[in-house]
Amino acid sequence: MGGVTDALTDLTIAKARALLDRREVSSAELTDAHLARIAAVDDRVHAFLHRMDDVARGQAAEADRRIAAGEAAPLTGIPVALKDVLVTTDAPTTAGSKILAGYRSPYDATVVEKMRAQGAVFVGKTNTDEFAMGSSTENSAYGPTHNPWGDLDRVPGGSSGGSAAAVAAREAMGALGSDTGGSIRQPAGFCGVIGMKPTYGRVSRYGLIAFASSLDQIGPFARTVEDAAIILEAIAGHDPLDSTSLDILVPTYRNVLTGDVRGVRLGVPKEYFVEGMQPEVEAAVRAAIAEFARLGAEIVPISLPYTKYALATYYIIAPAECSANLSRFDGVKYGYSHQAGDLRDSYELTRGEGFGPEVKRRIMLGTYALSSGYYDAYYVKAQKTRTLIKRDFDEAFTDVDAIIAATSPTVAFKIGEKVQDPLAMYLNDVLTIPANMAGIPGISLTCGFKDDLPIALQVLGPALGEEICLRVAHAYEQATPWKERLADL
Amino acid sequence: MAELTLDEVQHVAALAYLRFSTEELDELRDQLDSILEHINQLQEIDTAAIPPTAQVIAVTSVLRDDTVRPSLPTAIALANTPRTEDNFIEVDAVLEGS
Repeated sequence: MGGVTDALTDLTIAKARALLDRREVSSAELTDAHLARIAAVDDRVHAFLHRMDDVARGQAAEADRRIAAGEAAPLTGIPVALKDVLVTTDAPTTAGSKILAGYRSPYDATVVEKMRAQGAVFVGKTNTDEFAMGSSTENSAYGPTHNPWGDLDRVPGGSSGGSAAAVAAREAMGALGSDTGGSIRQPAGFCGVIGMKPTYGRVSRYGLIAFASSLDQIGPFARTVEDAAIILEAIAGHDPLDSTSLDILVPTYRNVLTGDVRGVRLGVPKEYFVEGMQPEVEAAVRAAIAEFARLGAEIVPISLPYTKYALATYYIIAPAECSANLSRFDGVKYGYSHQAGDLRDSYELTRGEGFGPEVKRRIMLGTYALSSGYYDAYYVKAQKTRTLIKRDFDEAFTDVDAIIAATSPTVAFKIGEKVQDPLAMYLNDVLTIPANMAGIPGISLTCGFKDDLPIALQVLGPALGEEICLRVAHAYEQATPWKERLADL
Repeated sequence: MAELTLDEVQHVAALAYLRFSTEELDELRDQLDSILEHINQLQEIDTAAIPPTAQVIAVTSVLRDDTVRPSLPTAIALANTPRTEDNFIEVDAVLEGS
């Protein structure tokens, strides 16, 4: 691969935009460089489930015409990747599951439509834990994704591991993922890129294959905070097709990236320095806190006392919602179908053969929590605890502007290390789950390295506080060298 | 709370329309037990006076005008359907003797 091609795939979206608009590079060139990069590295990374080379070339040609006409939008001609839980008309959508092998959606997700309207270029659909259930992308029915950092023997995190790895490996300039309990922030952290979970309701979920409907939210991956802001701006906003999307004006997120955090009150919750946190992770987060103080932010020790119950609460609410959402996969309307001649046999064999072990485990857990005799003890109890977790944040945000904490207690673990122990795998999300419970936004960014593996910090804001999250993350990013370091691949 | 019995796991599997082998049921029981043990720590919280949260946004009862608009053509809507007859989805008999 030539030096020019490498240079094109290393660009940020903001820099590529300037080059495209000045006609110094075409979208066709930019797209070809990314398709060549995918061809060169994805047999090792396996970020993609479906490549969209032909679609991408067509979109690039159209983007070049649009740019020539002086009608470029911020994402016109920019190569991006889509998590394979977002339905698309021009590529298969499998959600990483055998039960949707070969499924072709008759419509586009709203976020896909919005990206199309901007003239973005889709290079492919990315790997995910089956139905977004997992923290390592190892639950994909199509094989794991490899973290581009280190020796390629680590997980990229999950469930949006393919999107995180694709951006880290410079196979795409940005990507979309979904975050139900950390599925954007944790893989972004593990792969050394930016990942943002917006406020629940900020982005339409229409066309996102549902996991847990009260928690799911779509958000961007990118290599800089500015690029994440550009993508978020493109996908946010009200959608009549999702009645939980908020009818509130979308700000120009890039305008808040001032680099100035003087006087911003940043809460540091003591509960987020959890038992089992790697010392290097704690040291990097504490160094980041010191950096924020140096930049003029006020550091405020806070307490979120119900944090320790968030994981247990999540593992009732999310499986309960998933058991209802996944009842639609019955082998009758679409997807894998085992025709047994008897309705119950057909249902049970279709679902038994079509779903993987983790999905079945969560359907079982959720069905149990909702079943007669256990509903109050589990499901209602969890909903009440959710209230307490949300109140913790409500109270904290009366005093602080944003909260900073580690994204995950550890750096990326080895492929295979935790697959036999579901609870150990779940514990990985202990620091990301509370934000989903409260519906608040959070952004993850690199704050150091343990050997060659990224360590990440998350900035959490109050509901609809995307601007403060972006501003705080951007100020830290500008003051530190981490974004210059790229996975060596 | 008591540990799950195999019968309970089988009952939940039937509710969820999932079929497992005996070995899978056994393994699943152990895994669910370990997860439920973690989950049971919620019982130590006093939530008697706490209202439940089903969703976090203040939006309720979103209505739209009931107007006619185009929908998916039948052929496209049924393109992924395993068994169709004319413009219908074909299913196994639901009622005995039908």
